[in-house]
Amino acid sequence: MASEDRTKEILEGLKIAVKDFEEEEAAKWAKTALEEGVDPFMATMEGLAEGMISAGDLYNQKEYFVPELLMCSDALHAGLEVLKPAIEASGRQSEVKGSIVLGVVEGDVHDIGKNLVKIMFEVAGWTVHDLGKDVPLAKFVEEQVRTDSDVVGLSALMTTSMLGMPEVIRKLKEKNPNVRILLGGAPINPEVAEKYGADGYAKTAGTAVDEAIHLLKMLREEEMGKQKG
Amino acid sequence: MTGSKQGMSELERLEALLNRQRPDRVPLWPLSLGYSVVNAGYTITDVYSDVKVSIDAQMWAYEQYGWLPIVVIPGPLAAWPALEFGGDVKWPEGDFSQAPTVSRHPVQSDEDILNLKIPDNLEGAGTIPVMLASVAYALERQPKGLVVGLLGIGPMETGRALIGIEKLCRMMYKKPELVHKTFRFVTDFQIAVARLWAEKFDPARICPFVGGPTHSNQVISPKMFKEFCLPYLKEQHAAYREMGYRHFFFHPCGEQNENLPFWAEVEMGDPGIISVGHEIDLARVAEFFPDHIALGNLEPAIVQAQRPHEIYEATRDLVVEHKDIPGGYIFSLGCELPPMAPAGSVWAMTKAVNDFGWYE
Repeated sequence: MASEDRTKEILEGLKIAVKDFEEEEAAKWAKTALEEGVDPFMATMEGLAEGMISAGDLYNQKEYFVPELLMCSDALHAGLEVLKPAIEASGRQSEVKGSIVLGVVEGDVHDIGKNLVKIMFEVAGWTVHDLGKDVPLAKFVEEQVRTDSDVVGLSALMTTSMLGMPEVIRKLKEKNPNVRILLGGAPINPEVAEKYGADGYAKTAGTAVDEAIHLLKMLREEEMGKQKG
Repeated sequence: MTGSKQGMSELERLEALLNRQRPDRVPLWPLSLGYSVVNAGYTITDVYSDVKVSIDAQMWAYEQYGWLPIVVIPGPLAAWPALEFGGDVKWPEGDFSQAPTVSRHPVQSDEDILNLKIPDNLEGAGTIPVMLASVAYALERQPKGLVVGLLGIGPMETGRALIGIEKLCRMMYKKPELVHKTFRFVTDFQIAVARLWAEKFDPARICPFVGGPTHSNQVISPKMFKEFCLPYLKEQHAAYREMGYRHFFFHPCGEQNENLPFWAEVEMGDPGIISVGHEIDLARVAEFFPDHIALGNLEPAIVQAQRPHEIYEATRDLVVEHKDIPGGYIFSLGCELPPMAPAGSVWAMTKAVNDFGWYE
């Protein structure tokens, strides 16, 4: 069993390996964590995931860009490959922070932004239901109902594909007024998101998780207010 | 243009700017490939499936709204090149598509990169015959003015079409030598295509469309742009000038503020037309490209989603602020005019240019 100091050192090693996109180092530190008795779940959440969160911060600060985020994601997965069997064997379930349906709307295949958003939600402990790209509008509603997800994230890169968003939003709200809808993509801005009836807008992959958390917090406060009222 | 003052024709305004003279009024030229075709009663699919419809529709819209006579050749855009090397392209269809996309990238393995070769029969490869026919038709239909053709988008764009964006981004770290190999190839390929065009048509009438969104700082860092893209761009643009292409249509697209000092090192024509996204202040265009014509840069989402009076005001603000840019100014959007923009919104934009764009 690793000492407290050694555990900290291993977690820091995992974090830095991801942040510096060192795949071999991430796998090496993950093996070390298992060999020295560090809880694999802790190694994942407080090591690897923390490294990806740091990478997201650097992306927001324009120190990292898409290649760097993808490389960090590869290092994250290299470490996860090692830790995953031990996590599964332990039977421990992670605390789910929320659930989101993600997809690029019909007519649009530009999915790199959506893929980065997916990574950031996963490392933040969310369950992600990724519908992929060029997703028929009705599919978003079906998937939200099926999964009872808290948030639906819609992405578009074209001014034509963004035109499908209001329809999806209207149908989602008809089915479930409490679902929170987040928009992103090059042709979207806060005014468009508001006009289309969305609840939030994320300018970058790095801000999407914070925005989703904010939306859920607002929802919970509204619900509590109604209960008190 | 309805209600406009009488003055120069649109062709005269364009010629004045290209000859580094001030026209009587700020001209307007939105990138209206999709909009023009929808405006003429066709669909986005027709933009790419019927080049005559596409070119005629642009000329119709220019006459209808009083826009500059600059015809865009409806090439494969971001899906260039793919068909030329055995890949597949999905052409727009349905209610929400806007542009062609690569549905299968030609490069599936590292070995594929090493085996890339310029086709022996370049004139017959992929989309090239249709593009050549389109240029011929555009030059015939519009004996004066410019024709903008997909000739010179940068290596990140063409590399993305060949390889796929995520794979290309990872290779920039994991296999940089293969990225250089790819960029060397696409540069040579595009120079060969440009030479073919220059042999068949008057290059002074054709504006190579250069730039592209995948170079943006929403994708790669300025450092990577400098390291991986700049050398090839310099070489490519210089080669075009030597072939006789006089004016370039440079559309860097997206947030490229940190790339601008590097782009400023690249040949852009005499003068070039510098079209930037709404993410870049036109004052920075004047700063980095003082000898070129600035074009832009109303946010397309505004034209798609806001009310005509808001569009009118936003257009007025841009025109008033930038009409005196020393190299000349053309009002436009920061990217393509949304094909489904309401006609009232497009008219509001056009009216604002006519109301506030006149020079004393």
